[in-house]
Amino acid sequence: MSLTTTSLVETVKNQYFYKLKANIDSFSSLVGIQSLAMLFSLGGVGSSGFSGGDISVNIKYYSSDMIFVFTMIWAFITAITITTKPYRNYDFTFVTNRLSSSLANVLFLGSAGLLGAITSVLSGNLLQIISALFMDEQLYHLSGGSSHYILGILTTFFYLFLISSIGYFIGTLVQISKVFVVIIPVLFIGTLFFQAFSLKEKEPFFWNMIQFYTTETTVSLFILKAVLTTVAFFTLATSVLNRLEVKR
Amino acid sequence: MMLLGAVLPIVFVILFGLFFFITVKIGKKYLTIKITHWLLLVYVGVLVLASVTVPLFAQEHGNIKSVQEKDDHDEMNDPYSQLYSKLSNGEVAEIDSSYLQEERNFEHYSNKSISIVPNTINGPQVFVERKEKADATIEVAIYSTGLVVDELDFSSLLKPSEVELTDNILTINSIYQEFNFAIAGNGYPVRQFTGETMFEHHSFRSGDSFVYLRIPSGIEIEGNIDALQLIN
Repeated sequence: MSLTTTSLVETVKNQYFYKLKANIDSFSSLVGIQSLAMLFSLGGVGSSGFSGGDISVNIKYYSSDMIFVFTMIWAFITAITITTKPYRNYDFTFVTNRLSSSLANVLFLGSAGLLGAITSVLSGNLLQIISALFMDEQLYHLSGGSSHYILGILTTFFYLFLISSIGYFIGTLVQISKVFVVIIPVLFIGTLFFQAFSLKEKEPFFWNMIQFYTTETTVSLFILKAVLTTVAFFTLATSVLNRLEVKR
Repeated sequence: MMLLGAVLPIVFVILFGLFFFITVKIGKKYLTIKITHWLLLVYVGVLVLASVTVPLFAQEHGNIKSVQEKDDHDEMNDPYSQLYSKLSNGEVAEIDSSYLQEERNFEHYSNKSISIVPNTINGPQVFVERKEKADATIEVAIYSTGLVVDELDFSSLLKPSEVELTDNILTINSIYQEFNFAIAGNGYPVRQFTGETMFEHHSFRSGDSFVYLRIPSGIEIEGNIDALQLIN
């Protein structure tokens, strides 16, 4: 019997800092995946042009769209990865329970999301400099000032946190039973095909789900939607993990 | 520059391969943590530096201004229709000065006739007005609708058509111009809230050119008159 008592906050704090060190490789993969996205974006994310008379105009559009998408994929995979057994075994370095472990994971994913959001938004600038330096093009800005940076970081963070919560939930389900490795992709792809082959001409369910967030033009409402969904997924995942046996 | 542009993706691939090799091979040793910390630090440092210096790399906007384009489908109000209508009616005084690219006069013209030779394939439309007085001066005004791409006005980059007078032959030629622009816009989550679109509803104004000539009275116009628009 131990005479030492420790609070939940203290445990979560210790675990959080430990996870930041233990999962440092996920940050190097963030650098790698964003570099790869920049490579794919070098040709521009779109182009247009016209010619008439004696004028020919070619326009390439540069933005950090691809980097955003790749960062979303990274956040999703990172969230799934930290639910796997080797990563969960790190928890037993400390006096811990499932709740403190999950809270530390949420904090870690939040930190990762914040770093991912900052680097994702700023990497658009690096892309522009590379295009200005090495491509034979005249670069012009249409983007806004610092307010757009803040808006970009804020909204990207909530997108990343949202996708992390979904990844964390899926990862948790897979830890309960490996059957979910099959069921989840089948459900995802199945609904796409089911809607496509059904007589009613409706858009696929997942497409409607995505549009629920992507068509929202009010920042506060978007944040509210993202936070509620994120909380729901993390709560579900935590309650599922709580039911797991120790060291399973 | 172009060579560097071609080599750059290869350099990126090599760097990415090196990064991947280091991460996988040296994997879980303590050294990795240091490398990862350095990698993150350098990466964030480069991004911050890029964000600070990106205005230096973008073209000085100078005369490039943002303009609010009117509805493209409103043909009566688009710059081309307005300019064409006013020029064909001889209402030069009513034309907005922003459409005027160049004005020049050929003075002391003493020939009895003039042969106007426009480039009829790609050249500008030519309007000819007869002046009421015989002041021996041929007035040339070159107008352009302007070059506007996605609400950025590049009109100041356009070179006016060349108008040359040799003896009694006035030749009009436009200059071939090719522009390669790179337009950097806001990334996705920002566009969701600002209502910007990157892949649709592009606005273009293609830099159509018009030459308006004022010929002194008493001078006969020769050459391919069908290619000219004579103002009554």
